[in-house]
Amino acid sequence: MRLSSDQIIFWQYGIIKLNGTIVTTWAIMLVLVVGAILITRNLTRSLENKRWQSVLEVIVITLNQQIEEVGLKRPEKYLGFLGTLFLFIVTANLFAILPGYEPPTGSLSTTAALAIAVFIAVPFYGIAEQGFGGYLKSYLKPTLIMLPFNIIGELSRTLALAVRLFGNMMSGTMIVAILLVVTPLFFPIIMNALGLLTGIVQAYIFTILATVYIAAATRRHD
Amino acid sequence: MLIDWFTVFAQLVNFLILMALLKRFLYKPIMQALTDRENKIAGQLEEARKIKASAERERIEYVDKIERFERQRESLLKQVHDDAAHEREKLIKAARTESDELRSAWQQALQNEQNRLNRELMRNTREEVFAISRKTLADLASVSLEQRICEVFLQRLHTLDDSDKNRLSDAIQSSSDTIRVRSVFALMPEQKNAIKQVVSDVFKVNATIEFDVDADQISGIELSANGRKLSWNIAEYLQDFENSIGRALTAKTVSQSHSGTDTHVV
Repeated sequence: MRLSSDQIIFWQYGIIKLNGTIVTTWAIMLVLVVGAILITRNLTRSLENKRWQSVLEVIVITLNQQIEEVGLKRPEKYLGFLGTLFLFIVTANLFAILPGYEPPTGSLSTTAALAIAVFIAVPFYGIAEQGFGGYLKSYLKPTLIMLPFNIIGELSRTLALAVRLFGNMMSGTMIVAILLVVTPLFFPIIMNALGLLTGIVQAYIFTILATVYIAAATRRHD
Repeated sequence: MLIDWFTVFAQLVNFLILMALLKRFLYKPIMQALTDRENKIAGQLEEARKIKASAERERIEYVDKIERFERQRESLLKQVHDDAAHEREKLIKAARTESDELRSAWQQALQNEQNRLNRELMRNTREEVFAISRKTLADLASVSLEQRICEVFLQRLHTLDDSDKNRLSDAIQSSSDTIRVRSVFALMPEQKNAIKQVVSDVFKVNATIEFDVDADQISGIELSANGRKLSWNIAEYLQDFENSIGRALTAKTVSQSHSGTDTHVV
């Protein structure tokens, strides 16, 4: 039984290989970038808006608001990272509606990559905001004894991020596949719809958690 | 093995590329468009605010203008009313003056007409009196009127009281001019002589006497010297007659004025 699209290998040269996950990710990237280029090619500055431009504006504004609500003062600074995180995950998950599609988020490699990205982004933004010393001091809060626990917490939450998304997406795909065998007619459709909902919720959770981590790292401890 | 580390690395790179591309093609233009639109809306709002403020200023200005025009209009209207009242008063005054003048002229004309009638009447009456007297005297006593007047005049000269006689005598004696005798008719030579004779007898002077006929002024016979004069005439009778006629005419005029009140008084 195939658990991940990593196992579909199209081409390999040593450790370099082109598997299903990477190809699917490229396809999603292509869709996102081409869609963005097509829509933002003729942006109007007037009060009357185009339909797709309005959709993109709503998405961007909502992302900004969400980031701001979590506690980041200047959301546009973090929009590039967090917005891309959300858009990539949600697109990857929503394409699960297509038959034969295996989401790259169902691969632990992808979710680990995203979790590592968050793991890197947290200290990056933390240092950018409050300086190297200031950021390192946050590991000593509230007392020096908490340093190892803080480091463990940092690592474990990264692992949790990766596994949570992977587990949810992989299980969703797996459940549909198993149900297709058991009750092939009606039930898988409902489970597929539920899978879409789960996909959106997971994208939201992943992004919000990443935002919370960044917010915690950038907050000044006065 | 669930994790393929090459794939992890590749996906990390993919994610970074996607982030860069979306930043370039999605977030930046969308945020720029949003900012532009916000600026545009803010600009339009500002412009609207300016236009509103300007409209408000203009409204206040126009309200002020309208009030000023209203005041001006009322003032002009009042002035026109005052002028009209003044003009009306002036016209009424002028009409009253003209009416007074007309009435006065009419009264003057009436008075003149009355005087003319009186004079006419007097002359006619005098002529009538002379004619009647002449006829009566001729019928009853076979004497001419002229002769009788002359006799009466002579008699009056004779019967002058002393004071009158002295005054007339003084006037005749101090007169350097001749004595004038004027009569309404031409005196006969014997009458002239009789008068000369009587004057000479009464005043004891031998003066030159000049005889004139003056039918318009004299209603009998008159002797005058140095401002003094002695006469006999029918003027007194005529005066009485004139007075009575005058009273009758006045009464008639007053009754006419009363009955014609509506016609004359405007």
